[in-house]
Amino acid sequence: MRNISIAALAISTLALSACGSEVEEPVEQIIVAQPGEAASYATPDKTPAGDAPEQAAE
Amino acid sequence: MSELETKKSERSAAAKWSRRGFIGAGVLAGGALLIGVGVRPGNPVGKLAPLVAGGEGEQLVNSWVKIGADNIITAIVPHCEMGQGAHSVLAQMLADELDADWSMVEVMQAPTDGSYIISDTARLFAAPFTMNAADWLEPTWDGLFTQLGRLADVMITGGSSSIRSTGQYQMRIAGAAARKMLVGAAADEWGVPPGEIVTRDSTLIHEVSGKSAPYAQFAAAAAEQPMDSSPALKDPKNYRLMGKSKRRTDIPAKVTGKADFGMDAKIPGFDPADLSYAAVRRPPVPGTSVTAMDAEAAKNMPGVQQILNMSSFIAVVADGYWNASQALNAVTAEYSQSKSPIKTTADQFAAFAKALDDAGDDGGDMAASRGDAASTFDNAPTKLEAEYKAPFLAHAPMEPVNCTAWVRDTDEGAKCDIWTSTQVPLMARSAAAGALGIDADDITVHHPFLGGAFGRRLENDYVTMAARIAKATGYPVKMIWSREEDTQKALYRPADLSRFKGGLDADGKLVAYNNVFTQRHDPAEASVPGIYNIPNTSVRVAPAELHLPFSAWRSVDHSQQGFFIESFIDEAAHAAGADPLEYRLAMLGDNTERHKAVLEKVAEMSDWNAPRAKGTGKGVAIVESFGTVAAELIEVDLTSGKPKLLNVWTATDAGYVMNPDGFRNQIEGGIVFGLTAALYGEIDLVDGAAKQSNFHDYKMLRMDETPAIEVAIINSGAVPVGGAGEPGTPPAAPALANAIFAASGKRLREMPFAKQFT
Repeated sequence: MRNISIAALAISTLALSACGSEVEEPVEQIIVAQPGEAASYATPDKTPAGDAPEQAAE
Repeated sequence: MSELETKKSERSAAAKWSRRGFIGAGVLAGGALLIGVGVRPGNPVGKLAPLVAGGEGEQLVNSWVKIGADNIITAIVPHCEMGQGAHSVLAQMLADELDADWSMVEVMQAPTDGSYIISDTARLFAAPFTMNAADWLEPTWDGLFTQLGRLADVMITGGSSSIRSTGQYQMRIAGAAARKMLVGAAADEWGVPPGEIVTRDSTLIHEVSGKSAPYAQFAAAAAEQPMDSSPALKDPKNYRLMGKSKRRTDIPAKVTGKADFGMDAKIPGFDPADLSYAAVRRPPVPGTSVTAMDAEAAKNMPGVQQILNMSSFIAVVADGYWNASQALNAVTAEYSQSKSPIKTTADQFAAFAKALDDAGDDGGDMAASRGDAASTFDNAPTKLEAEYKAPFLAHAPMEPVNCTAWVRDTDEGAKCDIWTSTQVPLMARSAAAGALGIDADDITVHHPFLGGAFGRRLENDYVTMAARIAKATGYPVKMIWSREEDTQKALYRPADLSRFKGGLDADGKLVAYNNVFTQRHDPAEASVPGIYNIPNTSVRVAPAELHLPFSAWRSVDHSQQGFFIESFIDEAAHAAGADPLEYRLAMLGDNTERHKAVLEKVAEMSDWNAPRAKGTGKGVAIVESFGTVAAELIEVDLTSGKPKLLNVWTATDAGYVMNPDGFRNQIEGGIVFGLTAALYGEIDLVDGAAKQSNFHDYKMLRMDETPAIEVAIINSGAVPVGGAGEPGTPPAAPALANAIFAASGKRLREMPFAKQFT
């Protein structure tokens, strides 16, 4: 018995590579603020970046 | 036995493979071992050294070994570390052949570069017959697999393959070759025959003259030595590190919190406080898209920077993940209608049932055939029919799916950096290239530790999403999926339905085995009861539409097929009035000495024949997967009306275990994974979408529910050696179902089990 997981994955990737991928642009892009800029209506007490202890989902 | 004799066939195969392996590497490196950095202009060594040996005083001896001025040996490992311990054991194998001082060995993750593909591993699995090809064919095979390996981005951690392929056929050879080069360099310098030099603890010793030197002293000269592509490998009786439970190199950093996972990505030159985060939402039903988005409320929420409708998903970019996720919750959307007729779990199994009905007793695609199963069943004095169900399952790795991307224009064109936890870094690079429309060579993938994967991180859906977000914004963005997003909108272990008809002769022997099911992905042999001697066998697959997308899940098809097959064998034993363990032993076919050994061992461990307390039961199952034979025996207590797991005994034969503690760790983890799925795992479909969302309704086995687990290791010497990461999982569900039957007479033919006791 032989496991062919790696080969199968590689071959499928090869096939995908051959087919190429489609570059998809945003259908809609709403720019509110740039990084480091506070949006005009954003509250000043923003959550520190990367600090999300209240991730209820987790 | 703790030691084994190296079989001649193994030695010769390893030697042949070693030559091939290094020729393969040589093709990548320009025709020779990666020696003499700068000695051979144009040789890719010049490319590799800056990638992996840029530190002061570091010397690359070959592509997998570098030696520092402080005599630290660094093993450069092409596989990722996701908690399975591959980094440590691969370094252990290399270091043993190198005679390195283990206390001074470090591990480096190989960079995401085509020079570090493991095409030889792919060759081993995909075309093992080429291992014994004639010498004159070698360049052809090597060239073919090198090119295929590069095209297919074969840098993969999966299939329980790291130790049994890369370790055996690559790291050991690399270590032995490097040792020989160091000896050669010292012999030249000291003017003595190489055969008089011994190596020990990263030291070269010439006992006659009393000279000795650390490896570091000769590292540069060693890199200029001629390369023996077939170095002699150690006989097992001379192993110093292999077969020993050496320390894990990744543990200290994980204990102290210094270890970096994908989630910890930091971008050089950027203050982490200024990094942007994206929360994402995909349509709830596979194959649908966003048709309308209302983001008015979200625009006014704190920290929001951008809101993107990417058609296949919505992203909110903000100054922190919490702000991004809160704003995403305020975005409303409409989605296209799914064309799939499958809306519910019942619909999915109805589609499966129709496929099986249509296939009947002889339709579908044949997976294995022997004798005449249908007519033998018709004439059998005892007939047995059963139908088993397995649900969709999510992977639920502890580290949420995440990817950080930075796409930018430079004087040299568009460039992209990706930071992510992935099992397939080169494939991630190609996926990002496709999503961005730029060359893969313009993308750098940084892949630190993985906080679990179980197959989820073989996929690149999240990588392309992050790349597209970063391209749209033009600045770095760390995208994090919520637990709900990954549980409900990812890729899944497929559900399946499997039907059996079995015929027993007058002696109770299973003489007809007719099985049809709907899902066959990988490995192909998973559905075949090949270890048993059943004279009439028909195994068929009747493909049916699968509503949720497929993804490899720890042990892949074995995870369902192990439950189906070993439950049915247990039913046959019961129908025959036989002891289920003795029944299995009696049915074993040719070349099953290893299977007999693990069954007998697990019976001994569990005191199988001892009297059992009322309300308790023991069940057994045996599955060979990924080259390892594993028998598991579970004891369960049903006196409370619900299954309480008491004990798991497992006996395993992987041929030879390189690190017993690490192996046990993996088998135990695989068992807990399998028991979690058996008791609780289930993704239901409601209105075409996955129902379960988080750990409150997609439960894991808790510590207080986890039984004592005893793992026995049998080093039979079988070659090639087997894997560790997955083989513990497949026997868990059937062993538990069989134990529940033994305790209660209740036969469970559908997972998960726990809800059937409420």
